[in-house]
Amino acid sequence: MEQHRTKTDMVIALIGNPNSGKTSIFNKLTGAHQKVGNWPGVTVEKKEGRVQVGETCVLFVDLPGTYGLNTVSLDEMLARDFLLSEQPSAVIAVIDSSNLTRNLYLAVQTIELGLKVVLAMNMTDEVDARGDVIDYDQLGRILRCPIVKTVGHRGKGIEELKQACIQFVQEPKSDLVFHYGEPLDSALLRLTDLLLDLCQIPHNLTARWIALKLLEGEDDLLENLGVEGDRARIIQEAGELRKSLEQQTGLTADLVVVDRRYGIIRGVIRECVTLGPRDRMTLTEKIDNVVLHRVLALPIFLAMMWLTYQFTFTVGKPFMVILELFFRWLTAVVSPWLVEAPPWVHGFLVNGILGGIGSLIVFIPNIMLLFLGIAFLEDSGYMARAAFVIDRFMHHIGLHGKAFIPLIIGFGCNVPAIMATRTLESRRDRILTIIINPFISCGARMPIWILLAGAFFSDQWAGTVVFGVVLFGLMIAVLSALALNRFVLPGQSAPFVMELPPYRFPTFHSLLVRMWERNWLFLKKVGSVVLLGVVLIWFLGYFPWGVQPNGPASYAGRLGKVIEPVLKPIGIDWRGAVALTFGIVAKEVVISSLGVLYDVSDDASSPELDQTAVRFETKLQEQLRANMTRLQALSFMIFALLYMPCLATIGAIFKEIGSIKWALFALGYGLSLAYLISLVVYQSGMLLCRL
Amino acid sequence: MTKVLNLADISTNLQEYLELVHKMIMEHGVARVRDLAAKKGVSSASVVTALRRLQEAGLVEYSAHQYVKMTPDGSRLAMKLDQLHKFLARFFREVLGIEAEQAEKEACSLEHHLSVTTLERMEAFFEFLHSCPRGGKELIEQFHACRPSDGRVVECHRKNASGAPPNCLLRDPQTAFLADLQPGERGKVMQLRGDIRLRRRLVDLGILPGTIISVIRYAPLGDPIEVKIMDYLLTLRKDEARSILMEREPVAVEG
Repeated sequence: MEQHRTKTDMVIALIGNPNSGKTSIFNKLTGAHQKVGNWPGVTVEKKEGRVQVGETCVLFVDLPGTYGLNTVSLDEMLARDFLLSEQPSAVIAVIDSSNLTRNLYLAVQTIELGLKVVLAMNMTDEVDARGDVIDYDQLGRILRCPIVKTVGHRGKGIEELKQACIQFVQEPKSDLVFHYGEPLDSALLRLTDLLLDLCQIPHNLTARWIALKLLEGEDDLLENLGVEGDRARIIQEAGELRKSLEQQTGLTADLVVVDRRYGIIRGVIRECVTLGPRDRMTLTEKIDNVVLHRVLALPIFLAMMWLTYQFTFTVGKPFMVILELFFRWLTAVVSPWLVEAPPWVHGFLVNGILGGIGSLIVFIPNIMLLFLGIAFLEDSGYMARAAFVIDRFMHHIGLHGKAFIPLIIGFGCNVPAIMATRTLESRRDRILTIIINPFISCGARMPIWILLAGAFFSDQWAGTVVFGVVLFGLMIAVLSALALNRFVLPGQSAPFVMELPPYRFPTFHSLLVRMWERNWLFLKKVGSVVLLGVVLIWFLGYFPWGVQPNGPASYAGRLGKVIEPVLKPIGIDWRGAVALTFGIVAKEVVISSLGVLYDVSDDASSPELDQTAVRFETKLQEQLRANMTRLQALSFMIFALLYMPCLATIGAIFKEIGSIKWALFALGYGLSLAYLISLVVYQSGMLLCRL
Repeated sequence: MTKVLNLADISTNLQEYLELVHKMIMEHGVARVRDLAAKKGVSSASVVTALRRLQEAGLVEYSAHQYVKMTPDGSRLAMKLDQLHKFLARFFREVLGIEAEQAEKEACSLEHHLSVTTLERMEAFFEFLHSCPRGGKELIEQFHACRPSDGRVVECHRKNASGAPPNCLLRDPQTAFLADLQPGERGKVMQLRGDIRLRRRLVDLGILPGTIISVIRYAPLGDPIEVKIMDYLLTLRKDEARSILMEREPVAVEG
């Protein structure tokens, strides 16, 4: 932060309720000049953008959407800490004008912090459509704030908002004090005086705000803020005042404070708002009557999930093919240039670097489309409804309703699925959802099941076996969730109290922005992990110098021989071990690597690609049948399903789970589970055969 | 050897020994005859006698020159005793408003003189006071607010909306948890329970005593529920909705 300050003239923070349109206002304010990162130490997105307004360079910071400024959730804590420690020159409170009471509640708390607040009255079009009339001038006079009417997604009022901020920063701070009425005011006064007498109040805080928070019961506040002085005395006094408030009102002190604060806001609204006639039912409620209908809700939910899945993978498929062809073409172009170069340079550049980047880039269309789909679900308001519909089921396995999306997406690809856990609020839910995701059989693992099932089971049964493996993965994921929930991550999942925002039609711009920023984050962070892993595995396959690549003499081959004894009890020989090791790079590699190890040529450059592929598969299946039993194949499939996700997924896990410890746990858990289940299946199978 | 399963079957004296052994193991990790004797102010011989009787009852394990050990049955009973003791002190403190020190002392002396049945009944009553939706806890609070220092109870001065004193501890059909309201029903929040995190969250969303909430629907699988507050829609699980106590409103007839 300090670094920015030197280049920046002022910092302006945006605060607002979730669904208040804060993000679209932020997008319009900063345009393309935004930077997405994480808040230090947590995986909550932090967005900021530096913009020149006239002569001034302004850094806009988008705070997480919150309903209040307590310390209940991580989001609220981050927002409050930022406001207190960074002391922004001004704060833009984005207000959903169609839901004034609850939105002003947050704005009033921000004003109480002693900050300069500019109110961006958003969604005024909805207020107008409803026929309510808001006297904006009056509102501004009462709250002593500049007021700007905005329609965020259409960019209306953005320039005015910037100007209002710049101008307001020059003006002196308002000395507005909200009166809470008796008996609260005298309690506040008493505590404020005591604080001023006994403590040194840091310059960024007001004694009245501290007193208010103490009455609300935040006893550890003084320590957390580093207030020096006779803390014990203050806390004792606050406790006594709370007790006497409780006796006088019959409510707990924190409720008294909140109740009065809402009272103040209701008073303000009475003075500024004339309500129009209310329809019996809003459009949102009418839509909900269908979408959340007792019978229709589940089919509609499943249809939406199916659409999201199809959108991600079916629409993405041609792009994926084009990218694959592009990389093949690039390899073909680059290769002749490298004829002169020593073969290991050629191998490194083409197979290592190019192959590595390629294996990551081909996911990009899917990921972009998925994020576009999710952004649409979120911005339109359906996401919250989906969580509402399926929460009961998810709650049974200890997860949040929203965790359903990553489960579905996992059937396509685990990488975007793990990225999709960002929509979960609680860290615990996120960790749990991430750990179980790799067990969902992704698209890339499908060829393995098809090849093996085709080789070892009659045509009649092969399909059932493939389906069985996929279902088994889902079952393991659900059971794991149950078990982890019980033994490893006990504790409450986040309280499920969630707003169902009104349906709104998202703008293309905001969807694109959101899709792009998440995608960029993915490339940046996941990319480095993948690249590193790819180079390492490539090295193992090509060295020592001069051996047949990925053959038995390579380091990888030797490694396979070394771990063979370990995998023997589950019926996997050294070839399987090597193939699975390479499978860590990408699951697509398992088959081709088995081909190399069984010496079945896979001549990809042949013009008759399709025919070659068919021949390759048949030959490989013959070889496999000659070298493995049906039981071994089954054990191999189970192990391959569970043992370890691909590098891109590992990268996503490390990035999203938030701690190395949990990432390692996730990998270790999968590996041991895979070994255990394969062991049981193989050994009991052997036993049965002998009987 | 018959197993003792009930507190009523052991003498007061033995109960005290059991409690003491339990307390020592909890505090020091071990219990020795010497220390038990010192604590009780009796001879080691009488301690040993008591321990043998407890052993016969299957509550402790004891052999000469060894630490005294608790059997699972013994721990269970000792814990039950401890719990009843703590409850008694709490009852004196919280319901009757007696000073902590005195409450503790009197709980100690009363505990062994009351039958287990009476103690358990008192505990149940205390729990009832706390969970009665008509505000049993409030009743206690009101009692303290109305209790002058000379100990004479004056008339309760807080009246509810209808003007009648809140003298009812029974379930009122008009009172229900939000989770128990049917779709289409409406009510006013009376009380928020549950932990502070949840309460803060609810309060920030505008749910506080006096707020009107209408239940719109249950999710297709029966949970969570969707409600309307002020001008917006909210969903919460029934678990959470059970911490909101409501006063039902008659369904308004429009027109």
